[in-house]
Amino acid sequence: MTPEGQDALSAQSILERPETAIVLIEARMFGTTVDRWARCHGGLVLELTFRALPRLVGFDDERARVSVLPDTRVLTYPLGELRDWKHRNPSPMGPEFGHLAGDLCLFYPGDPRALRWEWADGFIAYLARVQRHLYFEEQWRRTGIWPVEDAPHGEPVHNAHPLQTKFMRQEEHRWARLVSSAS
Amino acid sequence: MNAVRSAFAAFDETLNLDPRERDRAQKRHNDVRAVLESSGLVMCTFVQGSFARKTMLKPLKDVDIVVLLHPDSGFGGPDGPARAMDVFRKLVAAEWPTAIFDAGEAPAGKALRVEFDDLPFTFDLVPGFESDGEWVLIGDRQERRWEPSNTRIEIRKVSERNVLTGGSFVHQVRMLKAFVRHQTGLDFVKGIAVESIAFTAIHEHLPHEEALTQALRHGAQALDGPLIEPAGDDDVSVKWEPEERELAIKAFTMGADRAAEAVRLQRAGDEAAAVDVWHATLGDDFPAAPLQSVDNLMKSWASGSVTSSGRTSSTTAGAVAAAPGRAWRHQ
Repeated sequence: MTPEGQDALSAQSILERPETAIVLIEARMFGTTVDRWARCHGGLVLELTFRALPRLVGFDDERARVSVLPDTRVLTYPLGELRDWKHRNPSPMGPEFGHLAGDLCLFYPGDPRALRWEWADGFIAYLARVQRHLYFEEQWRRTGIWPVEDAPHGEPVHNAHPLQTKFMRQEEHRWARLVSSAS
Repeated sequence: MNAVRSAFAAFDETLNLDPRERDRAQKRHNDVRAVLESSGLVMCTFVQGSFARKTMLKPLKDVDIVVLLHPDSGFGGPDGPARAMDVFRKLVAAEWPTAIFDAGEAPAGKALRVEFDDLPFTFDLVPGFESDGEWVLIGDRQERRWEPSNTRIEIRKVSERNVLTGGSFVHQVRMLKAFVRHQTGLDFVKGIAVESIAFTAIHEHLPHEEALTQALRHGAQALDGPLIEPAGDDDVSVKWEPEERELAIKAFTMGADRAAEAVRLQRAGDEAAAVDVWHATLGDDFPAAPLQSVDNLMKSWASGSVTSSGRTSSTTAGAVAAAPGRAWRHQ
């Protein structure tokens, strides 16, 4: 659930009424258009363009393909020219294929609930993470710095990767309160 | 004064008619009245329309003057409107020989258009007769008839509403008109329609941002039915096509959503983001927000929200929440 309790596009609504969901996505999210969509083996595939926020002068539009699988898992693949990626899984076909067909790693599954996306947050909240991730990747390419704390790659030997920064701990607390007050 | 209030004050200043231009219009009205009254055919004149109601947007383009004829002036029949306008033309031409009449567009049935070479705006001289109470009869030279008009009631009602709201109403009408002017394809929504929406929505003194939010929300709902003008008689949307009505509802709904978002941002403490959303909603007459640095943008994007205008806010009040998270990779 988002703090405002909005953006509540459920998996069911996306899969059953994609046209309605797309109207809402385009109306709500700045500079976002759904260029194409198709039903696929009981799931849904959307191709989206995210226009750069006005202050990101010199940044290009970003594009992505988002697949909602029949079991409601969601995977996102960036589109466009070959580029370096910091938080994108390697190709499932092997290391020689680089990131080909590798999906984006939008959040660390071992993090507290407030830092992770679930369907209860709604599909727009997921797309908002995709949009941000694509531009964070570009900012990383330009500066060599990921704009906020990220998680180390891979799984730790014990437990989960701990939060390292005061900012992320504070924000985790803030959003945990927001989520609990909204639910 | 906070940033949103300051921005609205600057916006208001931008929309107001130039006071010197208003004075020139008033003075020329007095001069024209004196000339017409000297004929003995005219009882008095008064200004009507948005100039009279003080809801006109800059720039001043035309001033509508109703010229009330003496009951025994002999203009009462079907030819009366055209003959009265001929008399107006001769009287004005005698005093201002360079004045041009009915230039440009096809002549209007209800008004003789006068252009003076020393003024950048025109005057419309509308022949009329006193009628019952505040009503007047307005002449139409093309239709060859005299039609009842509640124009004076409209002026009074708007003036009363303005007093009731502590003088803010007419300013807020102008702001709502600026919103409509900023939208694509809403040319058919005339000023009186906008005034009618504001009149039904705003009944008390409210800060501009709250009054506009209320008027936009009301408009989004009210546009689905008849839109009665302030005098309470006519549906000013009666000629709209269904697709025009749908377009207007869509624009007002979007405007209302954005206005509500701006108010949320302001209440949450992000005045710059609120100004940015108002700027996107009301157009370039509304001041732009201070520029956001890329560092600040990224930090707010990491945890906060993204506004409908594409600015990030560290508050969660923007259109789409930006929940925090740590990007990762499984190997």
